[in-house]
Amino acid sequence: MTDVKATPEQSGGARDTVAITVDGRTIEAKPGELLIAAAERGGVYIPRFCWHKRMDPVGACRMCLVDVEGSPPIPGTSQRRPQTSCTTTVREGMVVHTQFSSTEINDAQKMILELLLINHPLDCPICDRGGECPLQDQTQDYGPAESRYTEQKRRYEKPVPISPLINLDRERCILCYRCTRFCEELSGDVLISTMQRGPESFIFPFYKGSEGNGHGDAVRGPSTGDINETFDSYFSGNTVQICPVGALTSTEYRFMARPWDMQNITTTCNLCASGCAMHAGVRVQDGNVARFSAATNEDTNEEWLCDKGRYGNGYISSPERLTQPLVRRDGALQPTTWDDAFHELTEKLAPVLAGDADAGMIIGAHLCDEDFYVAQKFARVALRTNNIDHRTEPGLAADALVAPGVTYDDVLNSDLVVVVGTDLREELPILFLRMRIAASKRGLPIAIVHPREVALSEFAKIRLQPLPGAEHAVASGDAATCGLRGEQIEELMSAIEDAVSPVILLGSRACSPETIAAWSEVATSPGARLAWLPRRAGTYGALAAGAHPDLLPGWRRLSDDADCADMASEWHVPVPAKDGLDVPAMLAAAGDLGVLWLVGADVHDVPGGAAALEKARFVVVQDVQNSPLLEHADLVLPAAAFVERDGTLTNWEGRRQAVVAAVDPPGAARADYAILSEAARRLGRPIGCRTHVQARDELDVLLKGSHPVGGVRGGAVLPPRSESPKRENGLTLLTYRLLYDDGARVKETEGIRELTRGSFAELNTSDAERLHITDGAHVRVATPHGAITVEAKVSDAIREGVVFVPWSQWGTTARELITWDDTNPTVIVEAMS
Amino acid sequence: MVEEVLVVLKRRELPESWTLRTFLDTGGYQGLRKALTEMTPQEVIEVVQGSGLRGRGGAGMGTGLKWSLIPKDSPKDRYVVCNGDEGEPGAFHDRELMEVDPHALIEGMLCSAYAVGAKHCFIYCRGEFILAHERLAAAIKEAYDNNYLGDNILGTGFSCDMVLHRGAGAYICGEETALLESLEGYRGMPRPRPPFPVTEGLYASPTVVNNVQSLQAAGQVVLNGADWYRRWGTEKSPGTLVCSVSGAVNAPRNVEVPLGTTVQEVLELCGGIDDRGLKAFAPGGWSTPMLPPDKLDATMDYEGMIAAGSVLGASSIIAVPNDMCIVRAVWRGSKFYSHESCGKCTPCREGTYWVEHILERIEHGHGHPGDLERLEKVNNGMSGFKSLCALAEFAAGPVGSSIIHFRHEYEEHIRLGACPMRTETAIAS
Repeated sequence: MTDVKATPEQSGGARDTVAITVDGRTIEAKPGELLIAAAERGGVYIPRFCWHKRMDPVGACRMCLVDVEGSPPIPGTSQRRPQTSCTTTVREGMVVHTQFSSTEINDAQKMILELLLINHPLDCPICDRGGECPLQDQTQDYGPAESRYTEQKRRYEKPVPISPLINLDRERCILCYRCTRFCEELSGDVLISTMQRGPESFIFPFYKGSEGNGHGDAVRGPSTGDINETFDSYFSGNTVQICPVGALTSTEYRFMARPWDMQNITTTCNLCASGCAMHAGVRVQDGNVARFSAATNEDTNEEWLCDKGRYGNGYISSPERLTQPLVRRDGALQPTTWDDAFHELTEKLAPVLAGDADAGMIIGAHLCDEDFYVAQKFARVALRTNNIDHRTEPGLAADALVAPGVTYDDVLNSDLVVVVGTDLREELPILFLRMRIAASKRGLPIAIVHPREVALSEFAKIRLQPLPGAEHAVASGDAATCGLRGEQIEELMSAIEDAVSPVILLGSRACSPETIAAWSEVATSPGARLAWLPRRAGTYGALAAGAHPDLLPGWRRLSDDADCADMASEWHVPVPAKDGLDVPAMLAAAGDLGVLWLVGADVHDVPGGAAALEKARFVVVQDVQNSPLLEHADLVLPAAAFVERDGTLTNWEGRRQAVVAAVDPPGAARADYAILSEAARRLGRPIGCRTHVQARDELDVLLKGSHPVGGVRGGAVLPPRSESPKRENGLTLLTYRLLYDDGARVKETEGIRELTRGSFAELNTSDAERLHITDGAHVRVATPHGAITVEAKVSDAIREGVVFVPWSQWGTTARELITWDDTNPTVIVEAMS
Repeated sequence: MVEEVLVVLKRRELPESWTLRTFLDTGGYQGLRKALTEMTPQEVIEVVQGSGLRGRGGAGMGTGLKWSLIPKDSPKDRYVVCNGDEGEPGAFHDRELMEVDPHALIEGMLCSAYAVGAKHCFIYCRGEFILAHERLAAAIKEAYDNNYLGDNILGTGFSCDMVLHRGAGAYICGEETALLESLEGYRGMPRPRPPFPVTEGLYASPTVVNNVQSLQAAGQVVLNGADWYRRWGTEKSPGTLVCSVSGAVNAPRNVEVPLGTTVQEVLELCGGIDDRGLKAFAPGGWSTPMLPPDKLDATMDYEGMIAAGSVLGASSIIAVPNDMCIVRAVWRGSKFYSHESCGKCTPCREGTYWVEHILERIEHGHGHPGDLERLEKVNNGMSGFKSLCALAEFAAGPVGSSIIHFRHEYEEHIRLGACPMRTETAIAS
């Protein structure tokens, strides 16, 4: 037997370790550590079902029994009482015998497995979990070969869809309570629970109707129709992944593949800026992605994923995917070859190449760093323009850039996290989840500055509800402008002052230059950190790579002659001198542009987008799937989805992580950077970057030693507000995206589509009373820019004087209500007669 | 003939024994007064420890020892909880004790609260005990009205509140950690131990959980001293014990006797075995291993019952009559334990289910050769302290012991393919 030192940092120092002996092997454990964890680190795996290292132990399954010397005896025998290693804390000198060295423990575990299996249906051949099932595996290793059970098994309706994404099979459940504990301890979405008692107990959503304690052959318990409230949680998929049997399975993955037929490719999710590690499970027979699951990255997502990341990639195998180039001939889009497409491009871009017309390029903020780099190089070197931008969302004028370096760990170990202008559960769900866990388990101090009560508000020790668009005034102490009382702001400011390592997180509605400048003033104490939280997966990378009219790669500025000279020597061509247009300016100038090139950018969903498409002269749509954009496209270039290509993504922390090709793109689709590189070559202005490695290497050189600093000049800055957002005779509009919305890709997943809420207008109870609006009534919401009709939601979770309308739900969109310059307009809400 | 010794049941014959007037007229609250005015908390713990009083809830832990384990330096509040959720089949003494003498319970709890530094007491009363609940509620009100509860009790500066909580009908809530979960408002399911309630009990704070009888006796020990209590009982099991007696006796009732009294003597106090004759008896409630009539000389104390092959448990003797089919009795009992298993942990949830179904088959004539061996293996497999709490051991006790003593009855059921007794007499469920 070898002595195992747990980890290097534990071996130093006096008495910061506890020596225990497990099966004759000495293990250095941490004081207070659970025996099951210490033994595992020391190389002795004790089987378990209920214990999960990220949740409190319950000691329910009894599989992890061990014999600990010194335990009280079993009366009338010479044996000691077995102990559950998941609830036993290590003690100095503890001597433990596991199933490997104790016949009694081996027998006890065998008995536990036999008992777990008596009511288990053993339908492994048709169970999605078969092949990666802890019950199957541990029965193989420790269980009896045969069952002595000859009675009737418990029977339940199977499977019950407890949400559009999750199926529940109670017959398979072994009641380990991992799923209910996940919901209670971690996500906070207590929507499933233990029902009934004893052998009759089962996990279920809250239900109505008969309880059905049937006997014999009878199918028991409530069925699908009895469910009162579905398991509608953004994090429900995690319960599937931690279920040690096939009781909880995904509707999306049902009968899709067997685990032994799948190869897991580790990649990075691109549906928000959280930067979660995920596995793309590729079914080897057909080379399709059968599912996504969470991969473990202790620095970012631990082992969790939100359901959007897990299930929201249905578009990849959608029949709506674009698989070949399309060119508009005689008014209709015709399939064609890449050769022909590039030929068409060369012809139509002649005025641009000749310098007679400007080009404009808008790139989607979910793409990879390499795409952003190649796109801006294509624009600047091949098309000779600075008209390149990724900011398709109003309010996202991130020009006063914040130095990076704040990480998940910094946030979670801070003694005060101030979250300004973001609803994290909707925008960065995994950052939300990790903060929620830290807050509920160990009291992470949080302050929330947001017009609505958001999901973290219940844990916040300070909650300020300023008027939307006035987040800067909170920082500058202008109580009247932000609609708060002076002492509320003072309370927050003195808490920040008192904190040793406060972290201020500015969300996507707190990123105007004035807001960032104002909060930078607050974060001046030593130890204080400020970070800006982009919502979309590629935003950080787009800024770093220069996919921005005023920024060049490596945070260089177009306004800086030295920076331009740098780039000129790198590229061997001068950087275009003319100032670039941002997204609203390009849309406004669409009729004059020689080409409007949309790389994965859904401009249909931004204010002014539809009008711009109408008047644009030549529209290139480079995208993964069919969309309303194609109605206006003159040339369509099929792009590879993120699982079909390599690259990197930079998350909100500035952490750059790999995106890995798991499968081939469908048909003739190609990676975005590759399309642009080839286009440049065909246009006679090659830019290199033929592979993602070449693009990455070029970008790496330019990023070296660079970092973002505040204060980019130029046209993209939102004008500072000249007036208080508080209007005399009206309400102020607040709008942002919910996690499940009309996003072009996420709506391709049927289960998520079903869970997507309809649009609504949320307003405070007192405002509703004043306006004679009742909850659920149809209301007309009008601003100077437009009007929509939605359902009213009367609530005390939103401050008085503010109306919240989600950005885009089931075809009803708030983009009609705002303009680029006026994102929080006065709004009038009236009941429809 | 042995006589009853009425200590905790001493007010049983008094008119309106449950009222404050009767209580005060018969020395009530003198123990509390003595503790608060003449004794330090440490002295209260010491006298209870010195009396050798052991918990009457089943485990038999020293009551004073338990109080002494409450950490003195904890910054948290401490709590005293009375376990009045008596649910063991055959046990009905706590019900009578709460009905007859609710103020004695309040006095005992206040002595305990004073000793451990608690300011809040909780009585968890079984939901079905309507009368006990009414009388406890009235007594608590009387105590508040007369300054035995609330602020500055008896002008001593000691303050303590008491809450009466009614259970909702789950047997498992008689298990102390499940009781605490239930009291906190959660599903009544046992918690892993350690931590034990004395360090992390109610609201994760140091908590004394004592049985009704233990607390009532403690109040009298504080007044009369340790030696007074040691006049009765044995060296290791001093004092008196209330036994519930039911089944094949002429006068089923609660009797209070010194620990160490034989089962035979206790049955005689209940009018002796009735005409049906005695087939077996469970000494501590149905969950304790049953014994054959040749063990009637076993003594009702912790050590004596272990020596006889059972446990004292809830000191509730169920006398099984000769005309009762043992298989049927055990099956009916197993239905109870299966129904009352909380379902949290595997051995109990699945084991009680399996055992119940094997027994049901045997009793109904569908037993097969090999069933008895299977029953034994499953019964042993589900027990043996593999579970989170003792319910699995309770469920296994009657099954295992009945196979030892009445194996022939099981074998006959299987051989005949029917129950040989065809009796509808049912006990214990």
